[in-house]
Amino acid sequence: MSDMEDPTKKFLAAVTFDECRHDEVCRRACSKLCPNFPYKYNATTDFEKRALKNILALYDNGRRYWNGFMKAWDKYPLELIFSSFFFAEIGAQLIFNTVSELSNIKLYKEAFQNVTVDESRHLAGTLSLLENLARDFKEDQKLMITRQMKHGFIFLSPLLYKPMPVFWHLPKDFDEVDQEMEGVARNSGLGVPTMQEKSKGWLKAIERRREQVEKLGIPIPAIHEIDLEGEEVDVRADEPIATPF
Amino acid sequence: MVCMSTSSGEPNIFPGNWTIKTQQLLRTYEQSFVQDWNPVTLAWDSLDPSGLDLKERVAQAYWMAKLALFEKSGIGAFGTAI
Repeated sequence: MSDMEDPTKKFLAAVTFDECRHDEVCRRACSKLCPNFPYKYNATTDFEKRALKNILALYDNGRRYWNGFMKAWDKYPLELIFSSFFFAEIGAQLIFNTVSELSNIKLYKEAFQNVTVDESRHLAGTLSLLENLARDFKEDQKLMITRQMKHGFIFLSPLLYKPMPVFWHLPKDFDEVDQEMEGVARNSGLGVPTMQEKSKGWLKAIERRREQVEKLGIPIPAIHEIDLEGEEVDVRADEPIATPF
Repeated sequence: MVCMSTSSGEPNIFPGNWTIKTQQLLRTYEQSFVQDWNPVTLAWDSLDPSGLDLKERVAQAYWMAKLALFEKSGIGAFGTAI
């Protein structure tokens, strides 16, 4: 922990509390829909088994993220690690807002409206952190922020796009099962956006922020998967990913 | 503020500071009190498992469990930072 200015510490503490609140919505929903899902769920049908296998593979593979995060902790300034958080927030704000709009179940509408408000606040705070950083950062350090943004997209890809194999090593049928699950969830009232809606939404959301970020001298990374133009960032296979969400 | 060193050489930042350099960040933090909400008191009755078949229940739980992985990464990362 570094000696951050007071509002930075308090902002990060509030974000931690918000993430706990979001996780609690997830826990309660799983508990109500399928008690003990996923950790101690007894899957009996083929559908249930495929769902459980996907989630457990994602959780198991996701453990590598934490190793990378802890390594980055010793290597990079804290503010740099958290600067990429802004990119994740753009995506988060987008998907939660879409779920709240598309869902026809009151609980999800209400929960994701609140979550969207939280994420919008996180985005505003992160932009303040980013502006502070950019003031003192040299060109090569600004490019590190661009790299961190690309990391954010890769890390969040299973939720906000589809898993990017440069980091995620998932079973061959993961995507197929994932899309099947999202389709059933969407049609039964959860309001999960389609792949096309996710892709278009990401692009639109980032373009909306492009000028603000580029004005700070920070290039937006190119992300060809969603037709986003920008700085080419070559992420190596299994490069440690250290972006927070 | 003067930071003393601990025996391990790490700077001892306790008890911290009340330095405010970024007014915008302070205002954003203050918003978290205004925009407070309670996950316990949401309309949980509107999520009626008996109105959904098994596949629908599993698929919705699947997506919420997937989202939870990323929320948990945030708890760990931001919690570690503070």
